[in-house]
Amino acid sequence: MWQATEHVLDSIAIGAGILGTGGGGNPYIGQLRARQAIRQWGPVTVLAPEELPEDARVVCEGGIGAPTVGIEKVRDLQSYHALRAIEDYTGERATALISNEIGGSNSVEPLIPAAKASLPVVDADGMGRAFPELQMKTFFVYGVPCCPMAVADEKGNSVVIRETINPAWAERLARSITIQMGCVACYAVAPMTAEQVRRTAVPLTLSLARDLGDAVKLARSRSEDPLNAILETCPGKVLFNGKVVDVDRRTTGGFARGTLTIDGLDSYSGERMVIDFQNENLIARRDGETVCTVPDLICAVATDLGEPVTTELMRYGLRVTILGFPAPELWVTTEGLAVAGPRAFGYDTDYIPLIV
Amino acid sequence: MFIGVDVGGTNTDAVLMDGATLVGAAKLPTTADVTTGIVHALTELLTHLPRGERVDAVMVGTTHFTNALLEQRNLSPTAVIRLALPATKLLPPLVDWPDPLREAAGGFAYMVRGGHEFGPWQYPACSPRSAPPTRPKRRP
Repeated sequence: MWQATEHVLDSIAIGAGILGTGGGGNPYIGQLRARQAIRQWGPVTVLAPEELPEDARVVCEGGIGAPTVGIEKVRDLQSYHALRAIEDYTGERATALISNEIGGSNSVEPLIPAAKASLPVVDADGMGRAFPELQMKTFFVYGVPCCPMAVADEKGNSVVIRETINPAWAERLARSITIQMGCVACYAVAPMTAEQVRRTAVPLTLSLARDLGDAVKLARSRSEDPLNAILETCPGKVLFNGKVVDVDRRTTGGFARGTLTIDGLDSYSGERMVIDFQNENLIARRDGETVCTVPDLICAVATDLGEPVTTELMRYGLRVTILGFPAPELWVTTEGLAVAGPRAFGYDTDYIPLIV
Repeated sequence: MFIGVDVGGTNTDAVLMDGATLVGAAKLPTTADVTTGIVHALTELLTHLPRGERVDAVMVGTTHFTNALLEQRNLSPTAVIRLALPATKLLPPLVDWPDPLREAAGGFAYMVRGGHEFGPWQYPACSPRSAPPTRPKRRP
């Protein structure tokens, strides 16, 4: 158990920016929103999954929409309104909240309603990274129902999706609702039990994000290499290092989609890496050869300071290092890969595990 | 044709460009008020403008903006009016400005109804009779 005070938020923002693989929403805006909420309503208690009481009712919360829109129309208290909507519909009060994904602003999204409603959050999430689509959660892969689900906007609208035939349909319907709401909304899923959280969540990821950020900040203060600090905290490897020469980015279908092209520097001089993204980085190819795919993590960080660079802020001329991290174990199963492997995103290639 | 102006600490440089071709250039001392130096440079540069041509755009780049922010001196009181409500309420304008800088610029931040959605919708526009703008409280 630990306290999420405003002073840990900047570390979480760095770590969640790295684990977010480009998506999850802008981590800086998430940090500012969580800071406002904690200043107004007080710090939030963070519980490890095994610290949850047996009768816990855990609501999963997250933002949904296009990060390109979310940096302008910054979210307000939509996740609090989504929480109230799902509680009203199910007649059950939440006793704790959990993040849908540890990436970007979604890592701290539950802290906002948790501060306002005086609830703890669970040190875990449904991805151990970020993914673009709602059904891509370990909760749903391992049998937690995704409905009823509430979606709320900043205007005061909320919608409850009562039932869908599978989680992919929940994504389709929630995405359509979000587009009508102006491409930015928050959602809340009907409560899970403590047993379901322990069995299906990726554990201790909020502390991992915090530790990653702490390591980067410490390395910077000592003028050490922040990239080494990242790789020592979370085992992974350098995939590429270079300068961004093109970002082809469109906001379509409620997502930020496109490709990122990097020309190599140093030991990668003369080589080129192309990364496809759909909010998150999906597949990295070096001179045409696939070197890393979902569900493994493909993360872009500024080479000098180790600052994560998210999809909506990626731009020409940035010097970036691309890091790869192996996916959490819950994804590297037949069921997990069916939902979040390369073929689930339309690529005609099998998942080849990243060897660290 | 386009004009680009770079106001440095010592000199103000201005160039007249036709696409990627340099048509004329001027270098004059930067003045304390910045603007006079830019006017001097533009006046000299326009003598290079070929008859019948027109200037489509002028772009000014200067470190003075950064310097003014860093030194927090000679800043004019400035108001930010954000047309966005009901969106973005949790993060009022200037929310992450350092306190001394916010004070130096006057701290005037307002949010009013209005703004465009991503898509064909629009928020109801603000009107003089709409609810008074909110001014964020200074944080404790």
